[in-house]
Amino acid sequence: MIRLLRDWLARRTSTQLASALAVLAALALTGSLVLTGQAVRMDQRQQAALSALDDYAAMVSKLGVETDFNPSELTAGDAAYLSAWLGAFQSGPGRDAGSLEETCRTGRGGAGVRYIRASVGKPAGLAALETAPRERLPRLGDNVWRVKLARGELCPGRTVEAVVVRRTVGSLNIIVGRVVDPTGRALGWAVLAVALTGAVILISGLAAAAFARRRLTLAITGVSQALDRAAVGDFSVRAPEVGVAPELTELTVQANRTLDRLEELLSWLRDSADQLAHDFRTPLARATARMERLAETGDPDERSRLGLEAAHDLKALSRAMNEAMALREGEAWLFEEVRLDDLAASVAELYEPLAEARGAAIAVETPDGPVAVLGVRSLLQRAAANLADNAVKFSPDGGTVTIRAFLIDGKPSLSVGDQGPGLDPRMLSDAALRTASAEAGGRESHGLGLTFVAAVLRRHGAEMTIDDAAPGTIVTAQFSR
Amino acid sequence: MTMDLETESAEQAFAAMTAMFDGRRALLLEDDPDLSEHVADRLLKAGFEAVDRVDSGEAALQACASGAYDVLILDRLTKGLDGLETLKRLRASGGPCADAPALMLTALGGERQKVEGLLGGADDYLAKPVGDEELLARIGCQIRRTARHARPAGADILNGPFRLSPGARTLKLELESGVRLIDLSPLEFAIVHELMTARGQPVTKTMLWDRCWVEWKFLPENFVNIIDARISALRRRLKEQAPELGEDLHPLIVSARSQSLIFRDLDR
Repeated sequence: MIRLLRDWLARRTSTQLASALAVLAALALTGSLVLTGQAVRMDQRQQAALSALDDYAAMVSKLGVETDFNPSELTAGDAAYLSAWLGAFQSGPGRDAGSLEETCRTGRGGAGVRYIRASVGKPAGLAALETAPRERLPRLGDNVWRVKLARGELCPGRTVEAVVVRRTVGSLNIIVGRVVDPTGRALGWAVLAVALTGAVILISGLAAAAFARRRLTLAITGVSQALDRAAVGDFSVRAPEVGVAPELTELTVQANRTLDRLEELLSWLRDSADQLAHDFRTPLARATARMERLAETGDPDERSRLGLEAAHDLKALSRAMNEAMALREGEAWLFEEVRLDDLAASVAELYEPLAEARGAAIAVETPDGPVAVLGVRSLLQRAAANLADNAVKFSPDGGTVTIRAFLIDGKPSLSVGDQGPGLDPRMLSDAALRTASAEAGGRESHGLGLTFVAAVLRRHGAEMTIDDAAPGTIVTAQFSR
Repeated sequence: MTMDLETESAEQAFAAMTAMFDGRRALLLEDDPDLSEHVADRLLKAGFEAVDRVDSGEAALQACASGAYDVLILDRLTKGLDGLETLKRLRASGGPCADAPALMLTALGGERQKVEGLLGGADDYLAKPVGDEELLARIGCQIRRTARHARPAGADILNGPFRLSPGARTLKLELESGVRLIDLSPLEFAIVHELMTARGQPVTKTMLWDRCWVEWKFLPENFVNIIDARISALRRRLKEQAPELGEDLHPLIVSARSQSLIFRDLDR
């Protein structure tokens, strides 16, 4: 049930909800108005009934005092007299009730009505009191009735309501009553005030809803325009983050941050792809050339040499492909804490037997505390392994490969140094790295795999430097955080 | 001399695998006809009794409904139902193939895809291209595992005077003169464990890499060199600590064909 309601609510727009609230408020106001009206009306009737009972009591006491009036012997003349007397009594000066004439003119209540009928003779007073439709009001007292007097019966111009007391004293039927004040002017003002309040609530509610909606729509339009542009490859547009709708600031900031990251990632992928394409094409071109020579030559030694070299080229190609795939895999933002000191130790453990077999040693230097970066673990592992692999490969007999994890000004760094032949200083620029592997001919060179390492480090916002360690080379990755 | 011994031992190991494959039935889901024929041919030559070839997931489900297989070899990207979905349905079906060991053999070789495959119910996940030797060793490993199900997990493995306790992570040399603990690093123990569990059957270097170098999330280009260097060191260590076995039994770990390793079966 609650779920249904929630589902239903979820499908309504804010404007619809605001309108519904306004309508509900108006309904509630109307309801309270009706209830108030009824209470006021009841109160008016009660007042009229009390006055009528007063009148009746006064009349009965009068009857009692003037004992000459034996009810059983009351004549029509007596009745007429009593009626006239009561009329004067009810409308006389000193009473706050208006006269009949005033009641009929203004519609306000208070005027007295009466009807007295004796067992003999002609009844006196307003005959309509006996014939008009009536309804008992037991809550106001015994024999208290509400009588509806149609137009012309009491007042020539309007229908009035009267509350009357009907009693029988001896042979005398007495009906004494008062015209009920028609709920009064106060209620009119109340109605007006409530209606105006309702209107103000309704209008301001709708206006606020419309304003809020417009503001949200504007902010969302900003975000969606930025996303639309991004969808067609233009990452220059950003949604305004502040000054539109405070509710959406977080969303806008988040959307912009995502766009920033996407832009950064895309440009990184583009750069890496350019550089890796080179790693693809070089062995491909070489293998193609060798295959062509293989087809032409008849010398069996030459043929087998070319075949082996081509197989080597294919291996390089498959390596480049694996690295490209690895970059693709690491593209996800699965950044986690990676301890460079642990990484240095495990890379050293991995390559130790290989280094020993080549007559070299591996030394690990790490500080006492942790050296941690946020990164893609598998990519950092690959990069570190690539560097260590190269260093071991080019270490001379008895040389030492040094793997260090350290902090410079709080920035984590990892370096791999060897005592090998080193790189030509002319090739120590980033751009020259790309050609390093190509220049080295058939032999695997120090440059191979560095493209990949550079791409991985760029992905982590790290800077790669290659320095001459005299003798040897030291490759350092310095992370920004 | 050593080389002859190694070759002989290696061939024995592969012969033992043939004996294990004898009478086995495999289901091969592969939609490339050449590759499918090649793999089926290798399996039949290696001793399999039958290899049923299907080229779509639906056909694989149908084949599995009518009979049990000892091993399932599934490509991932196939016509109709893909291999992974097929495997999930087979596992859920409760049919004759629900518990059969399954190898994914696919071009989708990424780390994430591998995890997907293993979570989807595969027992092993191989990225194409896969050499024959690798494929047979992997299948052998799966069939061996199924056969071992009867034995309690973690039971000691005995090989000649060696007793390997997986629970305590110890390797002991039990001679008449007394029992001696062989000192091994955790990585070395893992390698010996993997090789001894194979009971004289070949374990390829990629299998060894996957199971012993677990912290490395990728296969380095020169993993063969890395493993060879590590194994050489391990051979020396074993020889130093078990000189009683005699020259002709060392090295205890021998190479088989081009990519596999075997821990010598000393009971034979």
